[in-house]
Amino acid sequence: MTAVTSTPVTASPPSRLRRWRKADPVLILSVLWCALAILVAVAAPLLAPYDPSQTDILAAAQGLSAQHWFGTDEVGRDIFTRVLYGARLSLLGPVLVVVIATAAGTALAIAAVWFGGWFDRLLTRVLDIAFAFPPLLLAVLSVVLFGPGLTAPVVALAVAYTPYIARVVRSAALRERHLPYIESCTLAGLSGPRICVRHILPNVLPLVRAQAVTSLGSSLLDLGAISFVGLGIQPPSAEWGLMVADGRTALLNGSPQESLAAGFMIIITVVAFNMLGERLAERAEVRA
Amino acid sequence: MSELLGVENLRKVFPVRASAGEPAGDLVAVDDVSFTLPPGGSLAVVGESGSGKTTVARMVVGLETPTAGRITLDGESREAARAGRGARKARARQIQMVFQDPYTSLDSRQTIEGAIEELLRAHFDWDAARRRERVAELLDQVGLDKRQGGARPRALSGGQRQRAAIARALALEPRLLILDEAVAALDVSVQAQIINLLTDLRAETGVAYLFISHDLGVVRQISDDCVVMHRGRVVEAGRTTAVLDDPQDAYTRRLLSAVPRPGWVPRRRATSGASV
Amino acid sequence: MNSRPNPPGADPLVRVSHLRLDIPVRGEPRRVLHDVSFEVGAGVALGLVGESGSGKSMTTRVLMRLLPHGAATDGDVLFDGTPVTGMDRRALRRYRSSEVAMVYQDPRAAINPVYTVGAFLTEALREQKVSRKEAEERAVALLREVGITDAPRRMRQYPHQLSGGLLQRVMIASAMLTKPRLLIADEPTTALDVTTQEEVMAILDEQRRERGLALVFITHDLDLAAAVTDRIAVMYAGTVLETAASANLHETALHPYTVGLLASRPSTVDVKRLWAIPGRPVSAFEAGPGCVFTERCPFAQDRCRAERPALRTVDDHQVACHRAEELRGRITYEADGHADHQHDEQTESV
Repeated sequence: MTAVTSTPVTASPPSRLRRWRKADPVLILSVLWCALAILVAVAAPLLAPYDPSQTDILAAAQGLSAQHWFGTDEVGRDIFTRVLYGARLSLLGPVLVVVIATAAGTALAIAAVWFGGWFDRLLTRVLDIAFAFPPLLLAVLSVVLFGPGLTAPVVALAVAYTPYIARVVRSAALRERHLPYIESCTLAGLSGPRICVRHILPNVLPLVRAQAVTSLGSSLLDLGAISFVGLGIQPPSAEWGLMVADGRTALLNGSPQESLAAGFMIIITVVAFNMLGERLAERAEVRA
Repeated sequence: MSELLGVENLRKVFPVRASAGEPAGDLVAVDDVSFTLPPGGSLAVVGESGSGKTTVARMVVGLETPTAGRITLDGESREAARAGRGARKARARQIQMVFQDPYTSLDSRQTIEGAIEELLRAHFDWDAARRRERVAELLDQVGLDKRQGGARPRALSGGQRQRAAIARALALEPRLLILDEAVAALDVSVQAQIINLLTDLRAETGVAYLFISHDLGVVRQISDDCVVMHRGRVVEAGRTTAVLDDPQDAYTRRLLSAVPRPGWVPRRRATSGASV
Repeated sequence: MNSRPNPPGADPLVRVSHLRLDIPVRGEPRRVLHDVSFEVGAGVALGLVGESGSGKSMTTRVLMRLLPHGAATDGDVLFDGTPVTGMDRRALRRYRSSEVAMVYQDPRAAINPVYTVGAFLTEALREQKVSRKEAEERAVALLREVGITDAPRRMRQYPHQLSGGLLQRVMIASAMLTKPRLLIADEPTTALDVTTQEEVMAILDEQRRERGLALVFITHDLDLAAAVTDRIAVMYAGTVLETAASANLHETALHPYTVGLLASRPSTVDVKRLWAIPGRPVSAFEAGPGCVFTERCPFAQDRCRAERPALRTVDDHQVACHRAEELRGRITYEADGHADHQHDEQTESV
């Protein structure tokens, strides 16, 4: 006598997670969108129908049309073209911020974990203080130093993001530091820098990657906000945050397409980066 | 009898921070421990958790600094040569260690061959062919094949990982190998393989073992001499056969009587509930 | 240890026969148990012994019906004549809360660290509308039974203030609170020192005898299981290979795996080269069509590789080996690592 019984008693999270990851539409869409955004940024001159700074007073403030898909702005520039070109500065900023902050944060965190003692305590204190500074305040200070443009907000945000990266990496690196495989490297006479770069770093890298991608999203948002308030990229450059601000007059006149198009780009791209970062973080967790 | 490792009046005190209900104070982990180990010998340090056996091993290898006492290797004090690349490498070539958990004692991102080659490259001016040859020799010595050598730890079983860890520890031809509960995490059938391997390797290479264990059966198979530790102190020391066949100390007898064997009946002691 | 067989004719409390279990891994069903059969009567202790991946813990999860979503079982798991796999929600809750109790390997993971021992012990009773005073009295009495002398003080302490051994006694006491008929102990002493293990085992044994409990004792330690149980079931790769009376298992083991396990255990009384079963323990899903142990078995023949042996009665053992009769009493594992038949002329090459 045999009875075939299926027993759905408890759902098991790991297996569901695994299946989910296998074909995860959100993840696929996120990756596709990020790839598309980067492609657009690189190939903007090939894709855009007009010159982004070419003004045409006769065709100013037009609505949607076959010639101008998203219409034109106050001075007659093609909004679609400017959205495409906008991807360049809008993405370059976050990439610079994240590259600098990730490199600095990871290096500081691993060094703190490796040397320990007063160096680690000092770094932790400094990070605690750095958390208290809002990125926008740093941006204002930075503009005083560097003047408006891309440099000031990038430097400010890189400084503001470093503690976040450092905190995550520090706790991961601390876990690795006291595992026997690192101790056995020490006992084998390998040098400190080698152990840090060849052993600790690769093992915390999945987490670093996840944190970096998530930071891409939030720094895109922060940079957009800085441009919006006029402390960042200056007109007539095409940049999404700036375009949202530029479109305000038209918005009041009943043609919201410039603000909407740029705002939409910001939102979707940020969401895509966040989703991707979250999945990468999940993966890093599973690995650990 | 000549002496490879000498440990004299070793003491280690850990400061304990105050926590809920417990005042701050000092924890004496190791208290006045002395023993010697001849070249090519095998000494077991036996004890239960909290006995201080692992702290002794970590001090000998240099992962902890003794509060007091002396550790000598070939008559030279271990503390004498401290910093510097040369000293670090020289120390590495004298003493190596194999850890308990084969799942965390290898870098999951390195192949077994890669892990061994890394050490050879750091210590010797050999060309690639010579290194490869030595790696193959080591893998063969511990019973791993070519495919397993090229694999990452994830693809290997617990026993295979422990073989890999042993191969790596032997790569620099150390004179002393510290085995910290090195077979405790393995399945019985695999444990027997590794015990036999360790016995063979000592005969082949003349390396000496400092074997940290709680398992009296394993200790009997692998060591010539043993030191029984209880709460940081040595309660009994001598030839392993003598200590296990005719234990003099009450704690050693208690330890032996607690080992399950045919006809064994577990008994409750009067001391229950007294210790936290 | 005397075995206490069931009164003749009575059904055993637990009967597992030809249990098979598949669990989905990445959407694909994966075999975890091939063929598990054993029975445990009231007042009887069964040792479920095996290495990692043998499926011994999974077997107890089937007994408790704590299986992942999508798991498929085949065969019978009967508790007091009722199929566990067929219980409805209410029956299952009653079964889990008052018929079976479990003691786990790591008591720290099985107890909520933010509650005191007292709160932990009285929670289930309070749920059953027992007054606080009575619940506390019963908990204190139980703690005394498991050898905790200063029980009232322990009741006010938190788990982290207790040693592993004491905490495991608290877990045993908590398992007894609901007066179960079956106790499942999953490696309850593996994380403990040997001297503490002896104490905890003594208490577990005492409780079982006094209360007439059926005990399923899971362990990797054959010597420990032989000492504290009445019968032993040896598991390998999701299969029960042999069951036998614990008392004389050392002398009468029939299956080459059981004999190998006994021979590979380092002894505290003499030094000899250990017999090491070659290879590594395989998981159930890796096994071929034949006997799950063929790959590591020195006595495997073509038939062993082709046809999986079923559990059958040989002497008073149940053994799953085609060659059980033929090899009976003749398997010796020799010091130099070779396995051989004693006095066997036609020894096949290994």
